[in-house]
Order: sequence, then C-alpha cells, then structure tokens
Amino acid sequence: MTLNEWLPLIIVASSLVPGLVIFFLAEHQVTARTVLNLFGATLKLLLVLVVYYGILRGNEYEFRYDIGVDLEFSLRVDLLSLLFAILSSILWLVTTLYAISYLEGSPNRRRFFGFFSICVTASTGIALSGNIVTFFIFYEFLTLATYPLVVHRGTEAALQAGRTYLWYTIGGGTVLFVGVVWLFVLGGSMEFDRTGALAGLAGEHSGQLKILFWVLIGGLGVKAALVPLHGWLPIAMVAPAPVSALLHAVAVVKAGAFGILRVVYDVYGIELAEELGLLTGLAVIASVTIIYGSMRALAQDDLKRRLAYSTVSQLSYIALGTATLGVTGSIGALVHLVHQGVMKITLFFCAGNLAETLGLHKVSELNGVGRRMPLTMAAFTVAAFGMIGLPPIAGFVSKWYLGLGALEAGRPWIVAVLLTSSMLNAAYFLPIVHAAWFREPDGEWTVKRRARYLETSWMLLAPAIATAVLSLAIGLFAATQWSPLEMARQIAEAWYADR
Amino acid sequence: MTWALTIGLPLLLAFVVPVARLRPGWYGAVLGAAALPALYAGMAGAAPAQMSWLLLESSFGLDGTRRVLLSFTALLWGIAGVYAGAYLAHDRSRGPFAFFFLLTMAGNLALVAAEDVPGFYTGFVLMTFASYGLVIHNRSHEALRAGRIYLVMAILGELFLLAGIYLVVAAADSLLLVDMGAALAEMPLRNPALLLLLAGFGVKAGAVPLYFWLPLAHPVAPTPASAVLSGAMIKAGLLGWIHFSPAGSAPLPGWSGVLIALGLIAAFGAVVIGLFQTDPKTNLAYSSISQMGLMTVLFGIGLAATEARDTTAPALALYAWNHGLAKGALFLGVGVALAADRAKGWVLAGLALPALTIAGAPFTGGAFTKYGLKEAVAFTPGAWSDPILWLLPLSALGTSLLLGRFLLLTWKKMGSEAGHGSFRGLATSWLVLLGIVAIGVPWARGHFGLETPVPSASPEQLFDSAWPVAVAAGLLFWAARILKGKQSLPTVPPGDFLLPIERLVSAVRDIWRHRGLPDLRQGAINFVPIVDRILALEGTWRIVDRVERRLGSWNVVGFLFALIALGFILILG
Repeated sequence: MTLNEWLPLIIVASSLVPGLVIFFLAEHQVTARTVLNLFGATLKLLLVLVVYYGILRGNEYEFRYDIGVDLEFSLRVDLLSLLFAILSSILWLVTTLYAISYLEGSPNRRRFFGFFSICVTASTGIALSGNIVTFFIFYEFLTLATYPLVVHRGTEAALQAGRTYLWYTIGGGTVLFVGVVWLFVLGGSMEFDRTGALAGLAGEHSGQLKILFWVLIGGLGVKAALVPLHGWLPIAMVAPAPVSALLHAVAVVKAGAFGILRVVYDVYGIELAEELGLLTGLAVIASVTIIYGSMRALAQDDLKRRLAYSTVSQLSYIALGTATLGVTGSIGALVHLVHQGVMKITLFFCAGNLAETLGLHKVSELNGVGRRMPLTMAAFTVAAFGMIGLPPIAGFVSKWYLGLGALEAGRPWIVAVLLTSSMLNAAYFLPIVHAAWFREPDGEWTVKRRARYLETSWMLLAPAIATAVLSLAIGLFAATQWSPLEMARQIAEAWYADR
Repeated sequence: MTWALTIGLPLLLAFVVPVARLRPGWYGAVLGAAALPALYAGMAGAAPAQMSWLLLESSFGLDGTRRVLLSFTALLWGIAGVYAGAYLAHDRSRGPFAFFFLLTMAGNLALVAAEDVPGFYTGFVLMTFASYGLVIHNRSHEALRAGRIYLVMAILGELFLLAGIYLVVAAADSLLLVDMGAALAEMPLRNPALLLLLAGFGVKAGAVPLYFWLPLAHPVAPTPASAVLSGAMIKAGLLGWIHFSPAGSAPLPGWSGVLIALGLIAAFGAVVIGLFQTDPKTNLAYSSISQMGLMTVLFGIGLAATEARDTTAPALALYAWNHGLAKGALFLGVGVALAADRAKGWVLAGLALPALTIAGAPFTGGAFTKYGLKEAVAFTPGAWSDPILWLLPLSALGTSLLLGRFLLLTWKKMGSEAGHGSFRGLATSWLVLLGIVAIGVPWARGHFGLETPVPSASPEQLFDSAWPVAVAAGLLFWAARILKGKQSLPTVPPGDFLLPIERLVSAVRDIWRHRGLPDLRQGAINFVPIVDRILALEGTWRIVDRVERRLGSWNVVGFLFALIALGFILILG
C-alpha cells in the first residue's frame, strides 16, 4: 500500500492515538497531556491540508479494509469530506486551546481530554467515510464518545441531560441502523462515489425508496436536531462550554447535517430525490425547524439555551439548502456547514468566557458587560451579526446563496422562511448586543478569574477572537480562491455537472 | 487606490480613533479628513475599480447621478465631522461617537460608490446599523425610544429589501447594479419585487407610509449626526430606488401614478404635521419628509415614460444636492443658534439662507431645482400634469410656512445652551457650508454637466418663485399677531400616527400573554419523560413478561422464523 492509501487512516489516527495515550497518563501530567493534544490537533490540520493540496492536483486517497460478508470499511477523501474535515480540524485546534484554559484546575481532565480526542476522531471518520456502512460505524462511535463529555461535570442536571442525550441519539441510531441495513440489502454498501447508485432501482422500488428515505432522515434528524427530534440539544448544553462549542459547531449536530447531505446527494442523488418528491417534504421540515427554533430562542433567558435553540434553527439551513434543487441552493447548504460552525463556535466561546470570568449565565445579566469585556463582546457581536445574515460576515453569504437558490428552484416561499428567520435572529441577538454595549452595568462585577493585562485569560480570549475574525474573513473575502464558498462551489458544480 | 481609501480610511479611523486617546481638539480634523478621499473621488470623477477578492467580487465606480451624490455626501460628512469636533468638545463619550460616525460614513460612501449589489447592500447595512449608535448617543429616554423604533423599522426595511433584491438578482443572473433595471422590466414577478424594493428603500427615504421613525430618530441624534442623517443618509433610499427601477427600460405608468400620489401626500402632509411641532429639529425632520416627497414625485415621473429619465435623472441629482447641503446647513445652524451668546441676528440671517433655498426663493439654488421639477412634469401621463403644476407652488408655500415656523422656533431658543459648546468652532464650519449652499447649485450644474433647465430672470418667473415665500411670510406674521399671548397652541406628538401603532403592538402582546396563547418559555419538546412514564407503568412489564413467556414456545418461534425468512425472500426477490 502506498502512502496515499494510508493517509486517510493516519488522519483519523492523529486524534485517536493521542486520545488513547491520554487515558494512560496520570491526572497531574498536564504538560504531557497538553503537548500531546496540541501535537495531535496540529498534525491533523497539516495532514488534512496536505491532502487538500493533493486532491487539487488530482491525487486520490482511499483506504479499504474488507470486514467480510461484503462489508467494507472504506475511508476516501473527496472535496465534501475535505470541507468537513478542514472545518473540524481547525475548530478542534482552537477548541483544544480553549478547553485547556477553561478546565484549568478542575478534576477529571484526563477523562475529558481523552474522550474529547476520540470525539474528534469520530467526526473526522464521519467526514472521510467512503460508504454508508463506515459512516454508520463512526456515527454511533460519536454518540458513545460524546456521552462522557456531556455528563463531565457529574452533577444531577448533567447526568439527567446525559440520559436524555443517550435516549435520543441511541434511538436515532437504531432507526438509522434499520435504514442502513435496508439500504445494504437493496444496493450493497453504497459507496459515496457512485452518485445516484439507487437510480436503477427507482422504477421497481420507488415506494420502498420513499419510505427508506424518511427512515434515514428520521435517524439522522436526531443529531441534526430537526423538529420534533431536537429536544436533546437544549438540554445537553449543561456540558462545559468547550464541549457545547464543539457539539454545536462541528461534532454532533454537523454529523447529522453531513449525513443528510450524503444521503441526498451521494446515496439517492439529487435528481432521484426530486423525482420521488422527497425534497419538498425535507424543505418543509427544515423550514418548520428554522422558525420554531428561532421562536423558542427568543424566549430563553439562559444565554447558552438561547444559543442552543439558535443552533436548532441555523442548522436546518443546511437541510433546507440540501432540499433545494439547483447549484446555488446546494452551494448555500455546503457553505453554511462551514459558516454556521465558525460563527456558532465563536458565540459559545464568548458565552463560556462570560461564565468563566464573571459568572454570567443569563441574558438579563449582561447589561454593560461590553465595557468590562470588550474583546469578548466584540467577537460575540461579529458572530451574532453574522448569524442574522448581515454583510460582510459569513452568514450573509450563506443566506445569499440559499435565497437565490430557492428562487432558482422555483420555491419563493423559502425566501420568506429565510427572512422571517433573519428577523427572529435579530430579535434574539440584538437585545444582547444592545445590553452589552449601551446599557449601564447593574452593579459591581464579581470576578471569578483575573488576568493581568487582558479582560480574561488569553487562552480563552484568543480562540474567540480567532474564530470571530475568521467569520468575518470568510465572508469578506468569499470571492477568493481559498474561501469555503469556492470549495462549496466546486463540490456543487461537480454534482450537477451531468445535467 | 482611490476607492480603497474612500471606504478604507473612515473604516480604519473608526477603529483607531476611539482607542488612540486623541486630544479633544483633534477630533474635528480627523472626522473631517476621513471624508476627503471620497470628496476627491466624487469631484474628480474617479475611474471605476474592480475588487475581485472582496465579498462576491465587488466593484466601485460612478455614473452621472452618483458622482453628484458622492460629492455632496462627502462634503456634508466632512463638514459635519469638523463641526462634531467642536460640538463634542465637552462630551466625554466622543470616542464612541467617533466610532459610530466613521462607520456610518464608511457605509454611506460605500453604498454610493458600489457598482455591485452585494457591495451596495453591505454599505447600506453598515450605515443603517452603525447609525443606531448615533441616534441613541445621549441615552435619554427619548433617544432610546427613538432608537428602538428606528431599529425595528430598519430591520423590517432590510427584510423587504433583501427579498426584493433576491427576486431581481435571481432574474437578472448578474450582480451588477446596472443590470437590475432591465431585469426588473422583464421579470415575471416584477410587481411584487418593485413593491418590496420601494418599501425597503422607502423606510430609509422617509416615504409615506413608512416615515414615522424619522421625526423621532433624526432630531434626537447629536446635531452633526442629525445633519448627515437628514441630509445625506436619507438619499440612500432614493439611490436605491434609482438603482432598482426599470426607468429607461420600460414605462410603468401605474407605478408612476402611485409614487406621484404618495410623494404629494408626503409633501403636503408632512408640512401640516410639521407646523404643529415645537422642537426646531423635529420641524426640520418633517421638512425632510416633505422634500423627499417632492423627490418621490420627480422619481415617479421618471417611471412614466422611457425617455423621461434623461430629464428626471439630472434634475433629481441636482435636487438631492441642494436639499442635502441646505438641510445639513439648517441642522448645523440649530446647534450654532443654541450656542449663540452673541451675533444672534446674524445667525438667524444665516439660517434664513438655506431655508429660502429649500423653499425655492428667487436667486437661490432651490429656484434652479424647483424649476427642473416643474419642467419634468411635462412627462406625466395626461391628467396628472395640470394638477401637479397647480400643486407645486402650493407645496413651495407649505415649505415656506414650515421653515418660517422653524426660524421662529429657533429664534425663541437662540442662545439657550450658550456656553456648552464653542460658538466660534461651530460657526466656522457652518459658515463654510453656508457658503457652499449659496453658490453650490449653479456650480454643481456646470461642474457635473447636468443638463437641467435654467430659470430665466424674467419678472414672470421671479414672481412664480417669490410669491409663495412672500405669502408665507405674511401668513406667519398674521398668525403670530393673532396668537400672541395664547400659549395653548395644539401640538402633534413627533411620529404622529406612531402612537396608535404602538398601542396596537402592545395590545397584541397582551392578548398573546393573557389569553392562553402558547408561552414560548414553556413546554419544550422532550420525549424522554414520556418514555420514562411508559417504562414506569406496571402494565408495560406485564406485557413484556407475557411476550417473553410466549417466545419460549417452539411454535411461536418457528412461525416468526418462517415469517422473517419469507420477508427476506420477498425483499431480495
């Protein structure tokens, strides 16, 4: 086997191995653990970028291992897997940095960082999966790896949240399992490169294919937090801030959204899905989720809960774009996969900073906090404006393509959904921004954590600022060659190339 | 380079000035200098530039109308910036003011210079949201209320706008603003798109019926900010209309009629309501609505026939120039008047100049622009033109009355805030602006090559433009005699029919809260407790037990096995 065949496996291992080693380190070996974590994260990012460079030059990267009975474990790199892999590598690196500082001095850090790495391994595996069976393995792996992170604090609320999380995700996993087996029976292990592998079966089995689609979406919809399967997400936000950040940006929820992308474009093929009349249903579910999530977010006073409902809403933009026939809509879905991640992780970092530095958890406590923590709130403001969809921040570019895509597909009502959502986003984000910058503080701040020069520890501040700058940059320079938009464009154009 | 500086310099300064701990004396120079590249670009007519790395491939450049717009916008921003330096000499939060002022400036300049839709929209959004910081600068109860209403209306406008933009861009298959008109003319959803765009930009332009935030927000901002809000930024709405109108591609007599009617309602309605205001700045805000009404009429005429645009476009540009600078001078003049501890008569005389200009008195710039409007009326469809020709002088009478009342209100408050700001500092930049207002219109007409008709100095035409001003002066004098000593003149709250709207909103909110409609804070969806409840039932386990026992018997298992085998055969077959 050549290096090109091993590379996908090495990328997955680059976080798995450090994770496993960390379990064998002692709790107090902080330096060793930190070095391992950062080494793994940096290595993964570099490898992913090397592979990206290779793909652009026409190389192929594929690892295959025969499990037996026609089952094959396959890791293959295409542009879509890279889009997700690059996102998760970058965000893993910044979140690791953040988590090291966030959890400083708290117990059970060995367990935390061990499972944290394994969690990233799972999401990278999901990104690189070459067929639906491999995808399913990593998908379930992710469920189990995340549970210890959700219950990390060990409080009554955390354990309760963990239980809810498991019920939902294992329930969803079971349904997905049924779907995957069914698919396997119909069409084999469903390699993701044969676009529309099911197309040949359409005439004979169209009824089955329709039911199967909803079974798959039902399974994936739990992690993708489609209403009414989203209930676990706002509850799971009891987890420590870095976990919520990763959960809401790349790991769990994106696994669901990414799965929906794979099912629609690589398993069914967009034309078949349209032919079977599946896209309208998906678009309706996504729209309901978008509006419902925003309405609920509006009513939350707990900052992280508000952000969690906002995730429910924003995530469904991806499903909505997926369900929009046409290159423009697909670009919108793909690019939002990245944009939502970068913006949402910024918001969670900021929420974490507020909680960790000043002990603030509620929206109603944020009056005047902009003067005390200007850099944090500046990052928050950028990301929140991006979520509303204001230019020149990333969210604007997503909405631009989603809106135009909806019209291209002849579904103007989607534009109405998008704009209603923008309005609701403004209604739940702007009061926070207003209170932070323009209101007088209610009293003295109770400072939990002090830093000598900055408003809080630089390791908490730097990740938030970095991702906020990134949110701005990928919007402002969307037209350049290296932007997520350009990558999304290439992927989408390849999907529609045969038309 | 010119374009990068035009937008980049104010942007850069916005982030530098608040943290640079400048000495108070430097603020005016810095805020004023930020507009210089834009002023140069407009006056010299900078060549277009492509920035393919920016946003979705932005480009900047100018056409005839936008060159005029950019020039007076930059001029007003620059002078207001210098003025702000003196105005805020004792204001401790001048850092935040500078931040929002410069950001808003950058947005305003960018939207005028942009040649592509995303760039234009970005500038528009930046201007809209940054100016919120200007509106609520002094944090008073009125300012916060005005800010809230401003923001709600701005966001609504933004949504209409974006919906309209999506529709047109999807139809045009292009991102360049020049392609939008033609696309609008041909697209199947033309009317909904036009409605959305007219409404979206109409919020900013203070058009009827979306104007009511304006008399609250414009006056409550610090005076230099009021000047740019009412002089420059209000024109962004107009520019949006111009960009997204099919004028020149297809005649739209229906829309033309609607706009002319709405414009006339604004022109007269705002005068009536404005007369009942007691604050000079609010009075000016209503005058802006009224003047924007006349510009709406002119814009509406441009839609009536394809060839009309060649006449209305330069007339509109000149009208905007005159109103922008004169209205700016009036707002800045209010600040000068309040600070005046001497030379009060001269200040009043100075204020009279832009007032007369806006009213279109003879030998002022306004006489040129009103004449341009009058000549354009020829293009209106049949029955419209005669009534409009009748109404135009009446509107000039209304404007004269309104601004006459403004002068009286200002005279009463003259010197009431003396000692707060530096009178000399304020007056210097104001005098420069007055000078430009005095000679600017004929100069601009020549410099920018605007082919608008020139009023002759014949007695007839002099009379035409003089009588409304004279009659208004007489009426005001008479009214002042009659009302002398009577203090209880009726007033209309600023924002007029906003009050019923606010009541309606709070009534709806009450109904939602108290009449059992879903409370969004309660009732999250969570299936786990339901599952728990099912598992906790005794019956559940009894059923499980029973099933378990049945499965122990061979014939049940054998039957199930046969069933599964059959199912597989069916699926695989």
